[in-house]
Amino acid sequence: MTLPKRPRVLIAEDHPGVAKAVCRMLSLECDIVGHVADGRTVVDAAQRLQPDVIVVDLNLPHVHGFEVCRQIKHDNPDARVVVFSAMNDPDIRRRSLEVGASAFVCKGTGDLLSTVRRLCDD
Amino acid sequence: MSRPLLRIVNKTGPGRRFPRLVLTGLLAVLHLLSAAPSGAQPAVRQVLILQSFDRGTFPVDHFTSDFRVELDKRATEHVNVVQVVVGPRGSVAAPDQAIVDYIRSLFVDHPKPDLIVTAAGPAAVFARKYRQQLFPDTPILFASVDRRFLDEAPLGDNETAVAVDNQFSGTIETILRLLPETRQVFMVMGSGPLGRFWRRELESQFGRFRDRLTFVWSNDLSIQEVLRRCTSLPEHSAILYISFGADAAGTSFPDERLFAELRDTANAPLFAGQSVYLGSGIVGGSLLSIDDMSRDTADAAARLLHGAAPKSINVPVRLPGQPAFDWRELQRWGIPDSRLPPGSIVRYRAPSLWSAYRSTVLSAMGVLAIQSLLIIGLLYQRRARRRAELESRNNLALAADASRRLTMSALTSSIAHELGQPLSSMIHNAQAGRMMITADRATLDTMGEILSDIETEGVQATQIIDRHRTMLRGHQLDTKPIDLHVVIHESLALVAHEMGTRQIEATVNLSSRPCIITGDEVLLQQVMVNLFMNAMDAMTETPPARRRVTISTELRAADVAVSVRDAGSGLPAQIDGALFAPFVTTKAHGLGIGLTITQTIVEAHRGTIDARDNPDGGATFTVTLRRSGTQEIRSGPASVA
Repeated sequence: MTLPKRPRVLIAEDHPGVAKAVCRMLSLECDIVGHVADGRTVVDAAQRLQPDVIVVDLNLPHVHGFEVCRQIKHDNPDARVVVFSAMNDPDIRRRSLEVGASAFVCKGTGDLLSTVRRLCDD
Repeated sequence: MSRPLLRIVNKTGPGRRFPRLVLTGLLAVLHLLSAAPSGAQPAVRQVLILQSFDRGTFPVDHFTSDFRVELDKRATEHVNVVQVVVGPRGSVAAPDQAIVDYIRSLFVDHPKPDLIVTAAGPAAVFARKYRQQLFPDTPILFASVDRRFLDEAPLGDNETAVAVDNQFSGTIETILRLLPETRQVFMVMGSGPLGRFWRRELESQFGRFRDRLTFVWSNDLSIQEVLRRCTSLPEHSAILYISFGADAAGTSFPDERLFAELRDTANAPLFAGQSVYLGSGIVGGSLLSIDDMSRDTADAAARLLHGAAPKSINVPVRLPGQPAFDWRELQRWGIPDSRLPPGSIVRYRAPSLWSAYRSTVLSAMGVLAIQSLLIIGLLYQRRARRRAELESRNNLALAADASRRLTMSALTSSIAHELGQPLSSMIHNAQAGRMMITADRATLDTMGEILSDIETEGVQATQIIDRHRTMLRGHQLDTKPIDLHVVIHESLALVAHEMGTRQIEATVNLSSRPCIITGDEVLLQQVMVNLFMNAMDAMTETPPARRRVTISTELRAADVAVSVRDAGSGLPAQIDGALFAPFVTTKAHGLGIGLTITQTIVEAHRGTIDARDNPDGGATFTVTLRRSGTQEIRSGPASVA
């Protein structure tokens, strides 16, 4: 019997506490392939690590999350990006999808792992 | 009355003083010549005054001068007065008859006197004695004479009198009232017949005091001896002055000199019976008023000159009047006011501060009043100023509160995000822990680590809430030593998220040493946040790559300059000069009070704020605040989020 494949996840989050908690939670079912805290390094890490899912915080230093999302999708249209933000605003949710995000998850909800799992199952 | 009373006393011998009588006579003749009747001139009335003493006896001198003044007031015709001394203090050494002849000679070729007035007892006795030779048809008025001098014979048809009753026993009673312990009274009186007369009279009167007092009589002493004894009288003695004239050696002694000596040297209080002595050194008592006597005599004389019959004029015998005392002598001899008879008058009282310096006191009071008014005015002004300052401070606090809430309102989304981070971390940690337990993969170490992280994030969330709550709370100016660098870091933490959202990079160049000032931490934090927000707003059109806020501090000797430099559009030219004016703004959304409040807060800290364009674009706002002398600061700066 082969074990189900564990999703490979890249996390882009500048808040160390949030990043640590998310890594701790996702690592129960996923492999965390990397964590970056700066918008300028996310796209490069995504290309290099080829994760299954990229979790992107919107308020990243230097390059905003939307721009990061757009570039990742530009480089790899199949990339699955989850916008992960504390601002649970319909406009932000809509704009996230417009720039190519596969999903929007509000921080502090219990939806991130299930969303990663769902995206990997699709 | 015996003859010696009229003898002229002259210690230098007969004839020595005769020239004075001649001089008096010449003057009298000149009076008479000038008053000689003529058909064209009005009638002139002749008055002959026979005086008991030469000048120097207070009562007679006073009486004579007063009488002449009062008579002039009352007379309807011109009055010529011929005044001749006939009494014992002698102006002449001639026998009585020579004086009589002399007087008669004055009127030989002139009308005889219309009225004869005698002054005091000796002159009265003289006039009565020589009445038949001295114009017996002329009415005679015995004035200022003790009734005892007239007791020998009743008044004739052509005679009347203004008599007095020298009640010296009343003076003794006064002495005993004022000085109850008095045991001896030294009687000062002249020698000769006048002295003997008074001694005889008074010894009789004073018999009733024999049990309490010893009387020592001086009529047989020389003036030097009288004065010497008065300097060393036994304890509880008093001195009663009767009348002096001349001493046993025949030396006449004017009252003025005698009283001056007694006042200066006597060791016992001095008393007398006539009002004219009050003020010359006597304590006082019920005194005969010489003024009243002068007026009575002038009244009577005027009536006689108008033809009234002497018998028709009956003037009651004058008695001593209301008790009067010299305050200086009462003080000198320690006599309290309580011992004075009821209704006493106290004269020569030392003037009170008020009466002596009334104008000075009034001026001083005026100055004090003006000064007090000025002080009240200044205090009122100070109070008003302090009230205005307090009001201004309250207004500043209110305006600052409003502005701060407005700023924090603009930062609401950033607050939500900032607070969302630790909350999110806590939730995800909790989820991880629950999943580990469910999957039976939880270990004590792992769970402990998760709980520790949750606690850390909880503390961080609390700090964020506290920081924002401080900025949102109403606040009164509260100054204390603070580190301006801590204020800058706290302020940056408040806007950090907003800066991130706007893709603005903050560069902080703070001096290495603490920057201590005395100020209000919350209000200065508001200043910093306002300047940061202002810088961020200025860079809306700036490309993200160039959006940068640089915060620097420059520590100088007396102050510190905090500059906030942006890379925005620079100072708006259209509001040049009104940058800090209220309600002036170039922003679509804003009241235009942020910089006004900022300036007001800085000035409340006695600081300055200015703004200038940067040479390479953007603007720099610089706040300069005084450094504090103390290096003590509040405990621990809060961490910067």
